[in-house]
Amino acid sequence: MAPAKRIVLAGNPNVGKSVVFHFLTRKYAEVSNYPGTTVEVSRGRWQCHEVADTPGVYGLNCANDEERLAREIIDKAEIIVNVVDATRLRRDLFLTLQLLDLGKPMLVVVNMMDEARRSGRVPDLARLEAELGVPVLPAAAVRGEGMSELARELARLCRNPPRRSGGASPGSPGRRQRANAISAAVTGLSDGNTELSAADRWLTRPVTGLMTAAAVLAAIWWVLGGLVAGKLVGFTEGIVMNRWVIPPLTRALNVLLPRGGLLAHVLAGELGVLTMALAYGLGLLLPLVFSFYLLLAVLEDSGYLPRLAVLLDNTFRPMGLNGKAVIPLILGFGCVTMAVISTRIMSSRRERIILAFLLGLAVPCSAQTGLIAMMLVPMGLGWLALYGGILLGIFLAAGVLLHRIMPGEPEGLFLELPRLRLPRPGNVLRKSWAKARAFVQDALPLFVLGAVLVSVLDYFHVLEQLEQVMAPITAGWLKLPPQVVCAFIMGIIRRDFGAAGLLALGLAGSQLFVALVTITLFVPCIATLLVLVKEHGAAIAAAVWLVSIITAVAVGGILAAIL
Amino acid sequence: MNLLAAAPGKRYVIVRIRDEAVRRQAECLGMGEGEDVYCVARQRNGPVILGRNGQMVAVGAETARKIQITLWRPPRG
Repeated sequence: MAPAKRIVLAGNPNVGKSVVFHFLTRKYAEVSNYPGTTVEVSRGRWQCHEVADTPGVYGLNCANDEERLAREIIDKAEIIVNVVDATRLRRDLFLTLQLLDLGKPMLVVVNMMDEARRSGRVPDLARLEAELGVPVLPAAAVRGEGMSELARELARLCRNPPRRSGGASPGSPGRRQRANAISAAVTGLSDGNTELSAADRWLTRPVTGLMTAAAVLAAIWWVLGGLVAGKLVGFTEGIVMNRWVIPPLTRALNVLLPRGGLLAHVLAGELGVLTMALAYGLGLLLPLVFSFYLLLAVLEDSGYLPRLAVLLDNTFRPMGLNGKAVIPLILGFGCVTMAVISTRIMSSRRERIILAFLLGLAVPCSAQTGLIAMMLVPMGLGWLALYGGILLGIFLAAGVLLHRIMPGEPEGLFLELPRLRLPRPGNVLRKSWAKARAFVQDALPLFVLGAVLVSVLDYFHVLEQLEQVMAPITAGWLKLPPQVVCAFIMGIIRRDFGAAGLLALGLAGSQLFVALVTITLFVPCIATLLVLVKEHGAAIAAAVWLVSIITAVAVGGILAAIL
Repeated sequence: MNLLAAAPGKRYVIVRIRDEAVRRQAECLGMGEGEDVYCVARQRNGPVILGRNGQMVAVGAETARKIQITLWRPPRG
């Protein structure tokens, strides 16, 4: 058996590296249709070898974080698998030539051969192999085509890696011309135009593009607030949890535990673990989160998000951002924590901080959006529009302000647009499933922890004292019942948990509205806070946290006075 | 002229890119200085979508202003 080797998958963004990684390691790495899906390195095992999936890069000499990260992993690897897009060889071969110059054993996987066949432009791979001097394999990774050949060739390469000598430095001139020449020779295509498809024209022109964006948004809210929150949750929470699961458990606990004791209160009390973790966490939030991720996955895989970036580029300019910012923002509606990590696709630290602030302040995550949709949609379109308008206003105001006070210059948009594709149901399901599972793993322990904390506080009457202390703010300023303190404490742990706390209070009308706006603007959850500290330092994280509290209370109070 | 003045459907040569990071990225993408590209679409105040061989890149107004172009002419003979 060959000694263990370190294999790295490298290539341009959006060429299908993560699909190949999944084939080799059986580990799911997120696959989408926009440049920058992979921002961190995934590692797995293939046979006895270690395989690393790197963020897509266009070259090795350009100084941004992804390229530095990818370069680091590539330097440590012993074998390079360079994945290229059969329909984008002119672009991809630049990186291929850079990788070749590193002098490591390498093979080139020409992926998306199916799309090349469909467009009638199949590259001459024998010629390509002759030009590059390393094995070249055709593949259509999403269909599994060429994958067993890849495994065979890779095994051969691991057994006896050929000696290759290192060549020119990554910055050497003439590489672009050579990439162009090889591409022209292999594809017989040197100066083709790009025709904008009818769909692209529709999506990137202001009027039709905005109409589509509004329709997409409305559809998401309708599915989430009406269909899922109304029908599905009625079954999972109302029937499965509250009829079938929780009552027998509560009865059993009441038999086993002394009535009125701390343990009974923590487990089966009104704010206890059963209600919070089972009814809210699994019965209520899990269906909402899973459905939201399904919808989001369709958007991610279609290639729609980069079009939205083009459409909204000018809108983001007053906030010191460019259109690319729309990608982390939309992902933020799924999970703000993940979105803060995905702000790495922005090229400057300034933009990443502005975005992190906006995400922490004014973007509700999927679980929270689901709950809010569930409470707001029945109140009618007017309230829904007012809610959206207020959040948008605060979002814009905060962005403009941050742009004014932060030193530095904004970076302009320079974004490659991937092809529009029909999302593959398998990937949509697998991705949503992976994220929903992560939600259960990450959120459920926090729900249990939060339920224990709140129940203990309640049992020792600390909650009542807090309610009294905070009454000038809650009852006086926000005109809400003093018990909302509990929801806000829960909101510090997780935002959706806070919204669930509001649900338990049974508020209605303008009081409910004020409470919903306040809890949306309130602090980001603990997980987001930790990621903020990791990505931007404690000072920025603390600033986001404090500004969120102040904004939430100020806006809530003003609304309470007006409504 | 700069890229913001490009007309959709026309073919141009990229003469100069006055932004180090964009210049490097454009070179990697095969749309660097000296290359010729098509203007695929343009909103009045940006972005401009550049294309070549089916590949598309969206360039925001700010960046487009830093890219000097000239109309492409077929080589003689």
